[in-house]
Amino acid sequence: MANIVVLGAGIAGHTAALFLRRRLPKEHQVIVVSPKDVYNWIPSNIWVGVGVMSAKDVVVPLQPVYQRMNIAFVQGRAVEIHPQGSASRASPYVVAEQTGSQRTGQRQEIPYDYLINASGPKLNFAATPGLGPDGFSQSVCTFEHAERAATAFLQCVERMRSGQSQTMLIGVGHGTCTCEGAAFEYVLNVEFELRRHNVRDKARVIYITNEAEIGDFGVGGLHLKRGGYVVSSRIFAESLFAERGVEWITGAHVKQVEAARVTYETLDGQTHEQGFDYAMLLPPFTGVGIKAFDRQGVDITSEMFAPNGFMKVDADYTKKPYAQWKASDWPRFYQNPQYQNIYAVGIAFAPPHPISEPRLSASGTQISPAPPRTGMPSAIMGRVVANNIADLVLNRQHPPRTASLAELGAACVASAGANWFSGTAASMTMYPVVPDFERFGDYGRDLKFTFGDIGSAGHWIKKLLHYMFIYKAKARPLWWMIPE
Amino acid sequence: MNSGQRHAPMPTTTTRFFRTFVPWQLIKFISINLKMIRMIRRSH
Repeated sequence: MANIVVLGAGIAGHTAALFLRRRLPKEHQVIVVSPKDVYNWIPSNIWVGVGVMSAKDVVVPLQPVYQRMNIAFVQGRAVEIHPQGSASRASPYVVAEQTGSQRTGQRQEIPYDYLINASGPKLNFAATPGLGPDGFSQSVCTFEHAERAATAFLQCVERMRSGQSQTMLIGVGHGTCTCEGAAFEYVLNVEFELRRHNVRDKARVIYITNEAEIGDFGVGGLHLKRGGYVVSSRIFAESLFAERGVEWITGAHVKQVEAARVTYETLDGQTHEQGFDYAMLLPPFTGVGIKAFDRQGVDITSEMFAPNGFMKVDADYTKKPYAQWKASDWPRFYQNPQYQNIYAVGIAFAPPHPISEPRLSASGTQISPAPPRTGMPSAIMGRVVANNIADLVLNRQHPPRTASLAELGAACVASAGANWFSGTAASMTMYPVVPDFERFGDYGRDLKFTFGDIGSAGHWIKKLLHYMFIYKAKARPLWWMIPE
Repeated sequence: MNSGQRHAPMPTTTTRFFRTFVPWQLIKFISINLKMIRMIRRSH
């Protein structure tokens, strides 16, 4: 009988847990440890953030799903891993601090035979003074933050209705952020909603990003065939912003957020200020801060985790310049090199390096995106690792499945306004996510599988995906047939 | 307006019309889904 523990119930962890349960007979236990008792379909948080959806539209209570699926659930935050056991316990285990209302803070030891770290990011608002909902800016990273953002946004709309002009500043709040795609979606939805509320003429909308060019999205941008040319995503992104009257600031590291002003540094080393009436700025991510200890209780966190708190896996972490980065640097099995029964998937694994070209400002500040781990690749990682573990538990002789970002594609749909007939979205695919210049030449990607289009069809697709993935998260009949 | 805004290409009226023209977007819906399925199959 095996115990498989999954830390986190986000896109990667929840997918892994469902597939483990599907593959493994009941005598094998699947245990999910997650601080919250709901699953959040994060791609729709931007719609919560402008008030066109509510929080209940984007969350799925986990207890009923896990009860029905015979998955054990511990509502808690993983704080320690003991991969060698300890003096008091021979087998490996994790320590979770409970977060449910009745036993908050109580520590629980959970033994495992296999461990999947799908704990996602810590939202590191502290990296920029004044950043975040407890400071002076909004966020759409969680459904709770998105609800607060919507309230603040609609208050702005009311001020504009009364005749006041407002400046909306949207983007990322640190030079090393990721998730530029989410910020891109949010600014376009804000602009769309301002027009729908008939107050667009009262609003100045500014996008601030750490990307050297908009359209980078943390993946070095992409190239699409259009009108007989191979065109950079920068051209399309700038066109969309210019069409919508959205100003943009690129190559920016936000240093401080105050009540109505941000201070930021640009790649030329200059410092600037920008006032705002409403700001939504995404934070940079780190790992959630799990510590690791050996059998004697010695701290081995730095052996298992990178300095940014993400778990090391089968990637090439050798420090090398950008010109020497290779597709083969990226992990395939998401397995910790020292403890082969430990895996890390989704945002929790440590990337070998960014995807976009790293840049330093003239004063030495890093201003370039961290690599995104978007929904589709994260869910594929969860499924692949779950199936590999199931094969090991069941002693099935199947070659291990792989999920390298240099061999996976991604389909992304970036909403540009939510309405069945006047709304649009940019539908994009890219293959592979991490460009492979050895296989695909100058553009790094297969142009046959990399495309983009904007229109109402994209909005219909994004709505369809919302309902499909909520259905899948609830583990309704035939849920497993829905591809990640 | 920054220099990028001044030089960014702008869609024509026809392009903007077709973005929300339902019959055309229904065709696009099928076409985009097929492209995504093709890419998903390559990744799985």
